[in-house]
Amino acid sequence: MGESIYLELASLDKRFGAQTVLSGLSLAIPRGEVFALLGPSGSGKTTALRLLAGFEQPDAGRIVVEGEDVTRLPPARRRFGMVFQHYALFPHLTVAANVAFGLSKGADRAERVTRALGLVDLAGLEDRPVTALSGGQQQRVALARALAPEPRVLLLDEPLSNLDPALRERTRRSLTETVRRVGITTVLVTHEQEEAFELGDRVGVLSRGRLEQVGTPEELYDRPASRFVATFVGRASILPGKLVRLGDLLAVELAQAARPGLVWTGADGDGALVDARAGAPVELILRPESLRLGDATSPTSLPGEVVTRRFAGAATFYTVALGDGLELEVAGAAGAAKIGDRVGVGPSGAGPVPRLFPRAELPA
Amino acid sequence: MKRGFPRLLGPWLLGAVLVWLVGYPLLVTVTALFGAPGGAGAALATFAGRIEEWLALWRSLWISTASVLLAAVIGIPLGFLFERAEFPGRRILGALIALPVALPPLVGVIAFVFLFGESGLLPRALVAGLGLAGPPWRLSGPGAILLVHGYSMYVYFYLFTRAGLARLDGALEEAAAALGASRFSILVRVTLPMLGPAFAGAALLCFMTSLGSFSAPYLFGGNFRVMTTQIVASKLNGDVVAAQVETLALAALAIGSLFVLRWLDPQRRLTGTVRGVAPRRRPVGGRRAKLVAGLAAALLAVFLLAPHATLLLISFVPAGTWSVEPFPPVLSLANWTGMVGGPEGLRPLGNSLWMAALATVVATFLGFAAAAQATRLGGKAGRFFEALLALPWALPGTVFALALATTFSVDAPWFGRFVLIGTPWLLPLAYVVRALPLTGRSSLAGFRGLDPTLGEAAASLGAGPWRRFWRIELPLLRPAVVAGAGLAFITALGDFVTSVLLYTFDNRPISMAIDSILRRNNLGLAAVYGVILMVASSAAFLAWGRERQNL
Repeated sequence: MGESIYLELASLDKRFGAQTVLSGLSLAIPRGEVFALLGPSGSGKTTALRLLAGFEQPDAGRIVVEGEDVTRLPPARRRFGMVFQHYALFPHLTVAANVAFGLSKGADRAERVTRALGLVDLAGLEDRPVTALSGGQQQRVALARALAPEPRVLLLDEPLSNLDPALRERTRRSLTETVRRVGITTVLVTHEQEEAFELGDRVGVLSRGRLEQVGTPEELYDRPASRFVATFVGRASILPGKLVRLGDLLAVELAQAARPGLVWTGADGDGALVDARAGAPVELILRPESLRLGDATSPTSLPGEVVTRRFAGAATFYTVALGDGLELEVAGAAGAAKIGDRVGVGPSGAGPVPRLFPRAELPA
Repeated sequence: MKRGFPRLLGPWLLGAVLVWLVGYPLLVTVTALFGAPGGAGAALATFAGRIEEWLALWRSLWISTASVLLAAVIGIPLGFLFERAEFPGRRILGALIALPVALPPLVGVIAFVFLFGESGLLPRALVAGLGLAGPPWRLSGPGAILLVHGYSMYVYFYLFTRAGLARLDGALEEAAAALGASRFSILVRVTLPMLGPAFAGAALLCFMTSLGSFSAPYLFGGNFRVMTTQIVASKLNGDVVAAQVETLALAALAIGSLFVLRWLDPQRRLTGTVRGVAPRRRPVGGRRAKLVAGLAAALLAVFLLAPHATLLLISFVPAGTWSVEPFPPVLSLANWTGMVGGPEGLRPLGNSLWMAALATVVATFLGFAAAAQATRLGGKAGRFFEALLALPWALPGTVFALALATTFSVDAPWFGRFVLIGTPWLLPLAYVVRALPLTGRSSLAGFRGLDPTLGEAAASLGAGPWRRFWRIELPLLRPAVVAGAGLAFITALGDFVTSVLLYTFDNRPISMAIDSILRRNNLGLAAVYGVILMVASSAAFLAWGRERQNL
């Protein structure tokens, strides 16, 4: 990325007592980028946001914005705007007073409030008590309040988690629009992949306080850097096996003795394993759309039985039990199979290339 | 973000002031015994050798236990009725029957005297109606004390039961019903166990209030002395050492009871896994049932409000006009005009007002600051502040009054002791100490309920600690602070238990005026003061209720 770095997090560590919540978190975010931190609960994403806002102090590392080290600066002097998960609107103040809270007393104060409310389509609601607003409106007041003082960075903490699904879709779109229109550098944390993918220019995946991968949504989905990312971002099936080398080709042999055979072949360097050695235990990670249902007797497919079928509109997902506790999730047409059918699962030739990750050797 | 609260007072200075007010007087009372003739051993031996002292201890204990049971028997069914059933007049009656808790104990007691006492309205009516030779009962002794306690303290059980039922997840009872449990079985096996903590809380409040109760034993007890009246009797007889030992004995009894009750408290956290919705009120079905419910509720209201109505009535009965008639023959404003123009005039009223107002302001400020520190510091230091705030609640008012009298009867500025006894300042100081648990715990609840992200939101918008405090925290804490201040004011205004030990000629409060007027047998004038206390307390209570609704 050629742009200069606007917001930098350098090797942030944070411990609470004996528990390490974040270790060595580093991010470089150019001006105007919307960066999403994605992770399950307990991954440290909220702590990362609170470090950025200044509500917590890191045990090590630095936070730099516009070349200024703000690590030790109190929140009130950082000029970072934040939208809280539960909005934290001041219940005793009106909409206008909430939005005006961060503005200095000046002649243009009222005008700036009006402008901020216009930005989120809430013009005219100035004198309402915030408690009289709907959830979606409260979310937008919180956004207007954070944006009104023209902060350097906008922080969003699970901005849509408090809304019901129908409203969430609509609010997500308007939030994206507003943030893009303002062009503000934004960091958002979420545990929802969809939210991160739609809002974020780039997405960082956090697990247990460590950054697993940073990339565009496509990169994360198509080329996950770890087994965690592969399974946390999108749906994936896992097949344990052993790496075998066939000349220039790599192949995976399924671990189960009852089911010998090569299930995947590819060129060296194709997968994630650069230093793969033959015989190494690996896991093969497959996206549902990389697989297809076929004839159970086909020699190039793995035979199994359809155990669940999940219709999701654009595609239908089938779970195929291969035996030995192994299951594959396969995308297909709505009428491709019924529960109980014997089918064969083979490569579809489409979708992301399967990924290989080293697997801890199971005790014999 | 704990750093958000500005330092109202340095925690050390504030801690020192609180210790000086709350802990130090008790310590002085203990050490004073060692200076008594013959030392502490002799004082304790004298105490242990007197059968009356043991009797008083035993009576305090059993009266308190019986009061808890009586209050539970009245309050719990009422709580169920008003929370679970729907009938005409439920809302208004439900609010009315909570009122006795807001009235000063002394007002309740004299209202009882006027209604049920030997020359009260009811016995007179019975004598006239049934042609009896004399009043059918005498309002004195333990029975009378229990009657007053039951009457004023059922409110704790009533309110706690209602709150517990309102919090109860209705799905739990539905689940039990779906599993085939009968209504009785659901009540016994699901509902009542879930209400355990609420009952325990109410029982604790009742017990501690009864233990410290003074007005009823003082006016009805006669020779039946409990610890509080025993202390006052010793003090008035000039036996200072005995009063001090008795004070410590009562304090020990209170602390011991507190620990025992805490230990008996069902520690199981019966809050349920999910906060559910309370079941709908069951409308009383059928026209006859509705009529019966409405009638019963109205009768209940009459019974509960009769003492106060009587008080109002008596205030219009001029002195010397009511001798043997069942109903006062003359009603006039003579007592009211007499009070304004009389020898005492409005002085007791003015005294009570300035002392209660001053004590409320000081206690509100100290309680708020201590609550802020308890929240800010957390941990052991925070718990220390909380304990200081709770101590005057756990110990009877008599204990603190005597401890303060002991501490502030010596001029030793370097030891934080000044001669305040005999000055008008000791009584308001006692009011402050007694009000601290009310203002402090109310503020503490406010701080606990404060959403910390609001402060963070303000900080992220550029607000410094003071601006966060004035613009966000203080406005949001206002209802809690006002509630605490209102309770503190009511308590101080109607205080009798500390006043009887600490008042002087210059600051004689309303309660002492009532006491002396009653002794002169001028019932009408006493009723006037009682009505004033009642109206002021109700007004403060209702204002408090409105403020709480603004939350």
